[in-house]
Amino acid sequence: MLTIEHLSIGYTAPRTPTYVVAEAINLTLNEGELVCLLGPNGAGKSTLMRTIAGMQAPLSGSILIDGQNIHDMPARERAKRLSVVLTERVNAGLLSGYAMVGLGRYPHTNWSGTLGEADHEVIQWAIRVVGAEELAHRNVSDLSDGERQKIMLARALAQEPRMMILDEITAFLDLPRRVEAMRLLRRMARETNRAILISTHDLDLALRSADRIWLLPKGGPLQTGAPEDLVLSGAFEAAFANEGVDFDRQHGAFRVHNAVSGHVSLQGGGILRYWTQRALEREGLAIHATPSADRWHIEIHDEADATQWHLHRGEQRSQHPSLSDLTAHLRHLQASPAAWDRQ
Amino acid sequence: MTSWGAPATLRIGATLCAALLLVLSACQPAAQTSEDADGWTRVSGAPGANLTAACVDAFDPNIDYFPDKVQPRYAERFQVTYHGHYKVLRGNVAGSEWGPEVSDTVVLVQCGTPAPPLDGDLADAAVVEVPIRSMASNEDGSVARADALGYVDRVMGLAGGGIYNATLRQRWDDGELISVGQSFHGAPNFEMLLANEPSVVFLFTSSLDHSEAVTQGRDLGLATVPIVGWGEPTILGQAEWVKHTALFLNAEADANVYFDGVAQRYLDLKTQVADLDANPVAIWGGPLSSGGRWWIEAGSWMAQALADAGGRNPFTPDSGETAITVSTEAVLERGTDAQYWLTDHVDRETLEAAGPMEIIPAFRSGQVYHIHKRAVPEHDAYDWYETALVRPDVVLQDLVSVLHPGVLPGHELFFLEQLPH
Amino acid sequence: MSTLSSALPAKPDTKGPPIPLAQSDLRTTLRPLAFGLLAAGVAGLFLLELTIGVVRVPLRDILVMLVGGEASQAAWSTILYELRLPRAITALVGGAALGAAGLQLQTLFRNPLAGPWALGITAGAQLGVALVVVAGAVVGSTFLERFVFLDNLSLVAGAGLGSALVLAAIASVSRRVSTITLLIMGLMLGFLAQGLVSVVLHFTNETQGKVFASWNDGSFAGVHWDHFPILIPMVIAGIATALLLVKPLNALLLGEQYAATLGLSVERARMMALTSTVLLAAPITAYCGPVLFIGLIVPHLCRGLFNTSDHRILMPAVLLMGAALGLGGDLFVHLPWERHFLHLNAINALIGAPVVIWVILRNKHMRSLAM
Repeated sequence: MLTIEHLSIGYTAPRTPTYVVAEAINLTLNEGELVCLLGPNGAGKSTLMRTIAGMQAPLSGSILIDGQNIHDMPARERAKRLSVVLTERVNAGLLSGYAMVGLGRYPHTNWSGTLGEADHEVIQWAIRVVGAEELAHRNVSDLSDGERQKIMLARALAQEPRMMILDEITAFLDLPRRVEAMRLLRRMARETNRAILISTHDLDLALRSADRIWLLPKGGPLQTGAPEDLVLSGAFEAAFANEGVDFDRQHGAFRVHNAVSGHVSLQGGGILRYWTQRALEREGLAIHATPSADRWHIEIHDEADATQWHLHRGEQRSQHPSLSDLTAHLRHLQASPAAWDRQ
Repeated sequence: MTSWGAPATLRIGATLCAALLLVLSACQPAAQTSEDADGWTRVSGAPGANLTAACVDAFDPNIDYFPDKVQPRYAERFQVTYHGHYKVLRGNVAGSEWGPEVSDTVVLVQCGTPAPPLDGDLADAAVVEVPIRSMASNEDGSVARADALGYVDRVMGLAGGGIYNATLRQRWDDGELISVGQSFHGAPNFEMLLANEPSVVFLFTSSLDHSEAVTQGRDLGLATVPIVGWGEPTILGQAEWVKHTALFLNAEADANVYFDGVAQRYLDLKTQVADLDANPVAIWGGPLSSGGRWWIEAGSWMAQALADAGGRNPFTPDSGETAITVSTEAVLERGTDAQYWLTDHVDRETLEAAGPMEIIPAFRSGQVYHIHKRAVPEHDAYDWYETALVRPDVVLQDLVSVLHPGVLPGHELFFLEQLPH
Repeated sequence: MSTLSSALPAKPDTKGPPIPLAQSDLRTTLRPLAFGLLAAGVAGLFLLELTIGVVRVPLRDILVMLVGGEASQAAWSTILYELRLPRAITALVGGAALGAAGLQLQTLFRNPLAGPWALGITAGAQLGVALVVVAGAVVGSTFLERFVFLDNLSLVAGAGLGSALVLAAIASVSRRVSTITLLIMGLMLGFLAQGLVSVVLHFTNETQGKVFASWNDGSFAGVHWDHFPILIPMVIAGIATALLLVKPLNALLLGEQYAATLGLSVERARMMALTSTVLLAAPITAYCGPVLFIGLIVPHLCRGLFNTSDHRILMPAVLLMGAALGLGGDLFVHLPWERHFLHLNAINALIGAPVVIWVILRNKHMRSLAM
């Protein structure tokens, strides 16, 4: 449906050299597909989104929607094909959520913007799709940021486009809402047979929800593929290499670099081991599987009524009811090198 | 000294004149017929004197209906020509700071005779039937002139209630007069004028805003006439505007008698003073509300009267100016020799707050005079703007008695009053 | 995005209870009534304008004259047709025009304190007029020609050019600067224009300065029938453009970026709205002088009354409210006061300044920016 050919994006200004953000971009986007655009800050995600949305002219190349170049289209025709939700907070004054969604009918209504019965049906449908029934009668200015984005999403949907371009729209949401939002978008794409392009910082979420990922590393080139393909090919690691984090291919998540400040051994399994390990890593401790006389050993005792973390080295022993307690104690030990270093 | 008289004396004189005219007109072949609502008669034949309360019955183009005529000798801002049954009054509406040199034409047509065709140089003229039965004015000078001629009863409207004239004050308080505007500088109240239809509306004209009111009034069908007597450069020219008012009343004979008397007294005193050796420095002015600046009379008829009284003005006007605006510094520098100071501020505080005035000898000696001795401030009524405009002789007497003590023994200041020292 | 248990419909489907359009508060429910009252208020104030004045003319005679009959006194006819009717029409048209101009500017610049005066557009018009008056003085004119000249299109053209220039300056930077910066710029452009007016007039014949000084105060009273052939068509064109713009203005509520993605040609809409503003503000300023506050407060009063920013409701509302305020202010000025001469802008300031303060305090955005 959407075809991007030999696209080069960036900025031109008089008397300054053209600034190329990314070039030689060739992409396609199909009906029913949810694509996440990922990339480190400054790689040009926004520029690409804005160029595809028709809000910014490309340096060269073309963006075709159903074979027509969107930059040659009248604004109204383009609006019938693609709708946009931006990160920026909209301050629209005294408009009800319903009226705001109704603005999505803009390219479909007459000069005065009168809404017909069919328009009202679309608006109600869009509100239901995003689950904003409770927000429709309220003034948009009274809504929280998340609620407002929901209304903006319904508005983009009411525009009945072939394709929706959503820029960082989950940024305002807390984690559970984000998961829900991505799931919703995926369903929307599938079931309304629209293409959705969403840019996000939320790598984990993108990996889990996107049909495809467009990965834009700093300096290009843009890579595309199923999330798993990109993980396996090492493209993610490469793209985020300089961000002070490691991409953990094993878990599909970022891991923060911490200098190793000590060594411990850990015994235990399951989910408790996983989170204990996370806590210890955060403390900068390297974890070994086998106990040794010259380092502290941690055992996880998962009893029916409570979990206990036992810490011992030789004769020194202590018990901790929580990871917070355990890490506090370890920090205390590390503070005096005599108590820590036995070797 | 009583020769300058009281207006009452003049009024008696005017009444006598009018009575005489009536007698004279009875002797003429002109025949009186019926009276109208105002008690006016209709006359036919050639009148022996101008008709001050009558209309012409059978118009004869060969008759001169205005045997009495006026011609301004000192006034520069109006001219008149006589044409048998109508007069053409041309006014220089303004000039210098009073507005651009533009002219205005009014055709005064004897009641009962046809108006001349309004073409050629009369094309844009306003037409007023004379003698007028009533007048409204937002300017008190015309009112004072009508009173001086004995026609105060023709006044039907004033701007606000700020009138000093005792007769009109009483009539205003009795509700017999209409208000034609808030004051001389406010917009005229056209609704009131339209509803009461005065024969003529005299409008004080200092700026184009008011000139516009003149035009607007005419568009509404009112006989509006601009009054710019304040712009006359000489005090006798200002006083001669009594002839201007007389044109509307057909009271030319009275106006000539009145003005000749006033002018003679003025000139006699001026000659008397010119022989004196003393020329004390005298300044006429006051601080402006904007601070740091003063207006000083220079080039105005007031400055000219001060000069005629033997005063030496250290300030000279640019061409065409009537008052100049100067800084406090200039006042202190050039006023160092001023022995007399004239102003319109009735309180000394206003003057002294404007600068270290004790530098000026007049302030040290207490020779500071204001012009509003005859005033009722709570009524916003100041006789300076009324009687002083028709009595330059009295103004000069006041100035001479201040500047040259002993020249007019026994003269009691009429307009001027010394500020408390 | 809480509950999405049911399968999503692929096509528009309105299953389920209808979704309410907006909060069913009193102001929304009573909207038609509010419109009716506003319209009745305008009609009533118009009639009062014709009836009340220093000269008492019975309402009966006014009505008789309005339907073409003869009044009991001939002078009343002149008073009605030459004085009161032109003034009332000017107040009505002027108020409506300034209200519509203010609404467009507030939406266009996304600035609740925008208005013809606050953005310096009025001052620009004044400067234009001053230059025309001075040019007239240089060319020279006689007593009567001057007034033909004042009636002339050149005065309005001067005002239009002056306000268009200021508006262009404001519009060119409006996207790069904040709301407060824009207001301060407008204010400074206003002072600049006033300063230029003062200096320009200082170096020319003083009389021209006096014309201008008296004209500096706003009033609906100086307009005659002769002015209407220029004034009325311009204002009607401005209002018609404004009415055509209700949909684009609604889109612009979302900001220019969103508006563009909705299919709005933003540049065209901006040009049209700016043209409309000049058509509305320039002739009113040229003929009535700077009429303050109406353009600024009328949109806020309407938003408060109708509880919406929807221009389809606001635009007719500001026309009615502007007309009502114009008529009301003028009526108050022309009540048969015994002593005082009241100024229109004094009345406008008494109503307008508290409204502006209320807007600033109520508007979170403005409040924080002001800090």
